[in-house]
Amino acid sequence: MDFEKHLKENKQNLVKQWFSVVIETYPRESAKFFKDNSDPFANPVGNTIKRSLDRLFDQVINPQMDPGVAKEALDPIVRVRAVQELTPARALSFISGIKQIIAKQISSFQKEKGIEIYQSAIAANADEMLLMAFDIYTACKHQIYTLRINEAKQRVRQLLIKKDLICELPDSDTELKCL
Amino acid sequence: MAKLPKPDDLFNSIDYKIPSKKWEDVPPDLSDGKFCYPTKIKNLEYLSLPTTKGEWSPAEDDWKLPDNWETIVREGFKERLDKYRSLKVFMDICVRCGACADKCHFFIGTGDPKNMPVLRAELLRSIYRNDFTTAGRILGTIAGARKLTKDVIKEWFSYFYQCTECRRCSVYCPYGIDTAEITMMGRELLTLLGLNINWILEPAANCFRMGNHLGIQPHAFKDMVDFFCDDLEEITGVRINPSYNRKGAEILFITPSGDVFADPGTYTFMGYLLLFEHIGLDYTLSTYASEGGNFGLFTSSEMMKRLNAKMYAEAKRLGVKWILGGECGHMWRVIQQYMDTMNGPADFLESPVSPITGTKFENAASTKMVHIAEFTADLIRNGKLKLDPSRNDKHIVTFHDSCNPSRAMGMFEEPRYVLKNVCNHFYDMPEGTIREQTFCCGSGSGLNTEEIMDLRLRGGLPRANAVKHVHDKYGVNMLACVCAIDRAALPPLMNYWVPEVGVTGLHELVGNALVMEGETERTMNLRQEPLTEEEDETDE
Repeated sequence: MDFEKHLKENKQNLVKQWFSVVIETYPRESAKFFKDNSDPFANPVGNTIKRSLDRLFDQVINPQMDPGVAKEALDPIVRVRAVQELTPARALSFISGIKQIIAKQISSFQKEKGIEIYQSAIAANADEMLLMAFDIYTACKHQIYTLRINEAKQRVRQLLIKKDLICELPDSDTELKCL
Repeated sequence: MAKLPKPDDLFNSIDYKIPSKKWEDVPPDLSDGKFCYPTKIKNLEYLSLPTTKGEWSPAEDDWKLPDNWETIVREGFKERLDKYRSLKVFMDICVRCGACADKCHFFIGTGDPKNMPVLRAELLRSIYRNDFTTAGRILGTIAGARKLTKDVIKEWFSYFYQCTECRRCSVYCPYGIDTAEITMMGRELLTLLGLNINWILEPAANCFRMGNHLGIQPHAFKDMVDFFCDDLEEITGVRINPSYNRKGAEILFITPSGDVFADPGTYTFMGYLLLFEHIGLDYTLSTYASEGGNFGLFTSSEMMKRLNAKMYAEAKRLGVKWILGGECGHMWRVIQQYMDTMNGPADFLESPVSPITGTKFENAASTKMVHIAEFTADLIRNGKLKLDPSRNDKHIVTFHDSCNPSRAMGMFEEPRYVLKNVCNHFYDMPEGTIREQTFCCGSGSGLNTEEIMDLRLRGGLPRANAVKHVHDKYGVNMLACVCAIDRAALPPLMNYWVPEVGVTGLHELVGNALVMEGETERTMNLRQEPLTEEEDETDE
């Protein structure tokens, strides 16, 4: 299909546009930094986003999207945005952005056979990515809450055990000492 | 059925553009989860610090500030400008070159412009201009001045508690402006109004009363160390009996109390005990100076001085020659940069000399306190330790330079030298993320509190990102460090970003490798886990 070929050939430019959609969710001064600094260690946010989008693009335009690969590509970007000061909707809104970017490319391919089916496949891919991202985002938040709970528990637990103020069940091969 | 908006309408309604407001007009987000919990008033009272008019929450409109809060801040600011020439210079000299702007881990992780060090300092500087410079008084906002309001106080609280005082930005500042000291001044001014956070003030109050952050009583402290000795006997077959508060010992050993009650710091403590036994060191532990950490550093210079003094008072009381300090971060900034002019010179102690190698620690001639990484590196260099690094073979190790030992002490080589002698697999993280440019754990300076876990995770992203690089490239599975806050903060950070990587203190690995006289064959490491992966798998 010519349109798919066109998208592949223009990948760099389209991913750049997609990157701009993500970056515009940050304040202007920060967006510039995230955009311009290509050192992956000095600018982990910008570079993580770039790497993720690059891989996601290959999947979103592929009628036979591999959900495993898509999920793996989504994880780093969603993981970053899950700890930033963004509402869940805003954190994940960038995924829908690709639909508009691709739609703008379609005009000269309108008459191509099967274009509608291909376009709806892309939309379905983007929707599936959004659902996967929702899962990842929720899992990240769950993980953060678990870390918070564990930290609160661990703060005094060892102390209580060592002072024999609480008595845990012993391992099965040792005798009960505290009773 | 109600008419549902179309997805496109919803999508188009999202405003990606930034409000064109100036930074002064963008208020901080102080909704729940975005701030550290404020201190309980009893902590302030115990430390004889000023209080608010009642318990308060940053999420509420009324912070219950004292009636004369403006006068308090203005006079406090003036007093500090007169007292610290550095503060006055830092307020005047910045040319806004932007070299610091993208160096802060909180800015890198959050993208919030007010986390650029230059802008964080501007929060204070704008008030300085308004109240203490002629240009600011006359020209107002044109000269970058603004009036002190309650909203400014709220902004200070938000952003001075989003700085870990790590000083990475100061490395890049052509004028050497130390933003950590600006944050310290900001926090001092807030503390004058009774505004501080519980995660700092409670440990400070506990330390002042009981000698350590958690308020562990002397007998409990002893019990816990004895408990480590039981574990060590099980692991090595060697019984260790450390002394407590023993007058006439040659050396007093002080470490953060985190090493006594929090894993994985406890294994580091066990490593210290094995090392001292191995070389037959004449040392004692104190149940009074049972804390190396100093949360006074995060409160005020006066509080830092009071908490630091107890270590030296105890050294004097016990009549030791010098002090050996454990793996702590900010303790070393206090010792290295402030102790001498606060409580020093400690001329009742002797200039430290290793009793085992005879090495004089010239760098500690004034403070009389030696960092254990230096001490151990010297022992290894002089061939005094019998080591079997293969016992750490299941660990592929990298090293996190803790902010204070690296940037405040310049200690880069010693921990690496020790690591290379106790492990067979060591890989450094990339340049620009280690040594003096090291990235903070994201939780220093009293921010290691669970209610701001999101902030800590995004602040720690640059550190975790570099760890992930060596994990992917070399299979690194263990992150070593020499700081108790790191040992508490890095495990959740790794869990979120690079879950395959564990966290260890330097001396835990030393303890694993030490071949003790009369020991039984080692099958377990200090965590009582099998020494090799194969044994791990067999176990399962």
